[in-house]
Amino acid sequence: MRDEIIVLTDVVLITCIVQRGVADVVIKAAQRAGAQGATVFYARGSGIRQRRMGVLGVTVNAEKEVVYIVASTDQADRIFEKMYLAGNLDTPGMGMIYMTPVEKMATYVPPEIAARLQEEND
Amino acid sequence: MNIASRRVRSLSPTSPPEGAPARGVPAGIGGKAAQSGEKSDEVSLRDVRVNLKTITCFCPAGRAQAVLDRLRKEKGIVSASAHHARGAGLATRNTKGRLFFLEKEIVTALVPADKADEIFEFLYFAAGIDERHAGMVLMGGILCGELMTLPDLPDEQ
Repeated sequence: MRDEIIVLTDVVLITCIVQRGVADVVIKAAQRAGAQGATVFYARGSGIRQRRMGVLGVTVNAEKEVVYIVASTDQADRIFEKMYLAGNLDTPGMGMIYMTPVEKMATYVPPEIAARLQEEND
Repeated sequence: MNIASRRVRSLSPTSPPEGAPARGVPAGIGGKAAQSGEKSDEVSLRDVRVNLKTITCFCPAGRAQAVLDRLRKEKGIVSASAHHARGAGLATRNTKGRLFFLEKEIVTALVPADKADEIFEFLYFAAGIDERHAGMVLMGGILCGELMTLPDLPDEQ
């Protein structure tokens, strides 16, 4: 029903870039910290090859996974920290994470929840 | 490893040199060469625009191409692209703790700031975000950018 759009403003976008295969671990940690959802896609970045690491010689995989998580501002720091720790991002080569502001966001909000929020605001 | 004990080195200057444009604005805008009308031998930076916004739309897979086509034909927005992704959310929540993903597509558009709200609302309905578990639309600001323009050639369908 095209009546209105419910817009949320107190949200941020957390972007986490990790080696391929690590995204699931990071997403689970984010969900345990309160994240409602996540979006993942593949990308290619910088990697390191070393012969001593075997046939493929991959030390840092150049194949990456990019994780997008939209979080409310009051949960963002906690989710950011849990993702950082779960992905071992303090270790060289494991990846990066950053948070960007979002001016506004819109998604489907069930009518009963919208009505409850309207009552709270009133 | 103690994160707090790390020494952080900033790679960006804390203040721009004397005579340089304000921070976040490329040298091509208001620079001395532009003001004096001098023509550099190098490829000159076009006058980038600073009043742009990005709109990112997360929608179910299969809708992106139609959304891009409608953006171009109905709104005249050509600075848009889409790519595939997978998403987990309330629709895929599983009590056993396993992660399940749905196929998604991400449409990213760069739009003028004065049309941003209109395009935001357009994308919300064009991508079907008004349906349950369909996705979401985000809008964010950018420091500066330049829109893509297509050459004036006939589009053969």
